[in-house]
Amino acid sequence: MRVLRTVKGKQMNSQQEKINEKTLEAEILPVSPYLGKIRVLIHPEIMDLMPTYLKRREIEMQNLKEYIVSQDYDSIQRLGHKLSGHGSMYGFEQISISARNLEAAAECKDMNTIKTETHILAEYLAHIEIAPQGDL
Amino acid sequence: MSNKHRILLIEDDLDIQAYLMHTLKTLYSFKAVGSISQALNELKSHPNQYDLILTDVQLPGISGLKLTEALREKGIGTPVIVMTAFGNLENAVTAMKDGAFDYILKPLNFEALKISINRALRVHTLESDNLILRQEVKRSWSLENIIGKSAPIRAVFDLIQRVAPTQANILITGETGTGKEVFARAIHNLSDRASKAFIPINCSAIPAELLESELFGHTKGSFTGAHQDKKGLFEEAQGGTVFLDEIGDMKVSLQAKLLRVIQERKIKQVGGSKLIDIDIRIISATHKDLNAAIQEGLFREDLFYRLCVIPVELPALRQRKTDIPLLIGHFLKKHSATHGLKIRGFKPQTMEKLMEFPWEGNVRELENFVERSAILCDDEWMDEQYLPFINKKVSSSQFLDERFSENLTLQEVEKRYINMILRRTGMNKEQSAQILGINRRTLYRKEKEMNTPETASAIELT
Repeated sequence: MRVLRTVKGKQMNSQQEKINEKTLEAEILPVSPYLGKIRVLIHPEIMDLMPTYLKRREIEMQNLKEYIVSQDYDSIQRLGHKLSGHGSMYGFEQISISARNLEAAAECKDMNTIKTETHILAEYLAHIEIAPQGDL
Repeated sequence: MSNKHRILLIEDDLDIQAYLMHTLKTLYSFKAVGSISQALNELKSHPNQYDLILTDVQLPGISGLKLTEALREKGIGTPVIVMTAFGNLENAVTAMKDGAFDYILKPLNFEALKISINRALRVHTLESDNLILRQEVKRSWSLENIIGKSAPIRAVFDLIQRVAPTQANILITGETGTGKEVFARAIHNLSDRASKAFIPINCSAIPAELLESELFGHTKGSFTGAHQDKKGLFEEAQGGTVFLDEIGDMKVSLQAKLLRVIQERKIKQVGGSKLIDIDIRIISATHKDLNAAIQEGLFREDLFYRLCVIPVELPALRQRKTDIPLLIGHFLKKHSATHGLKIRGFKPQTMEKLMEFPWEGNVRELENFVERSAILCDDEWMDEQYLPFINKKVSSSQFLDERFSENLTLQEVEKRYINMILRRTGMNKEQSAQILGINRRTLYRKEKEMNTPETASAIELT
């Protein structure tokens, strides 16, 4: 059996991985193409930090989906804790709200809520449009 | 070098690191690390570099909550602010109990964080300044800061070093200006009471009727004007040292009460009935001859023996002439710095004259003289022209001419000379009689003949 990769100590072959990805697609709703832009006003002083900040969130969303597939609740809880800590600090209140819900759901291993909050977070991140405060 | 306060940030979340360092970069200078062990290494390799530590709680390896304990073990007093999530308030309580200065909730509120950081830095600066001042005060009043290398003063140093750590009461005698309080403070600072209060009380400066209430305290209504209970100085000095200066001027009635305090180690406030335990060491001082005062009935003998367990006699400045150049150098440095003066010292011939001057007011007089001369002198090196009074007094060939230019009678000269010797010896009859080459009875008789107001009472009691 060819080992493709390891997720939280579990070895998966390519077939297993394909099944998991399909399951994931079926369970986490895709981002809606019809939703309009969500305008978020950012403090001008931290506008420089935005590209890096948002790039990191893209990577984390990928990681989050993998944690869901492998049912890695510890990692979900840690990620939720981390996101809730800085989301609203940067001006993204919704990140902190969803992240807190993710953290709480991971603590009680509530996969349904985790998937719902992951979808909300993905929708939000896909549709935000940032502008410096004062630029309306 | 930047004069911004330096903050060590312990945070493994790169977004929070970036946010804090970016938003606060104009106010503070940051160094960021991702774990407690990295922070401890940084503090070890750069000691005293950081004014504040800002730490997260959830960190890889050791928790941020363990930081204060680790710092305490290493003797690092840098204030710590803990950043903790809203849902983990118990972390904040634990951190504060362990000695953190403050905690701040995540998501961080920028303004609240700035207020907390500024408050911590202000308190830390005050604490550091306070520590420096305390050390400075301690140093100022330590033996190392008492100037002198002559044999008489070295003998006093030796004695003090031996008796300071004990609990024995000490009586310091010496002419006015010899530094009795300076030595009393040095004894206190060398004792295990150094961390407690040193309370100096000048028995001659406080009216006799007030002294009792000052020493023992009073209860409300115990006399007119006692509007509230007041702790006495003995109680204020609990665990420390009380310095009773000019003890020879204390009224006999109060001496009896002081004796009881020393014997019983308890005090009773004026108007009060409760006995209060006290733990104090008494250092007393006088320029008077207490032996003579005892004989004259002005001082209780039993109290004298209680106070004078260890007698320390400070030499007059004229008995330690070799210390005069050292003292002058010290005072010049001190006052040049205070007044921004350019004077560098005294010319050798001037110094010789200063060493021969009798300095009746001892070190205090010398210091006043140095300060005054340094201010008035326009040159870098001071010569005799700036010392008119010295010239006047130390010129032995002109001494009698100038002192007694008014054609005095022999009796008047004798009277003035006896008074001068009495003043120099602090009214010590025994010593004065010895210097004058007469016996004590003759001295009393001569004083009676002179009938001076200051000696009249003593003569009556002889």
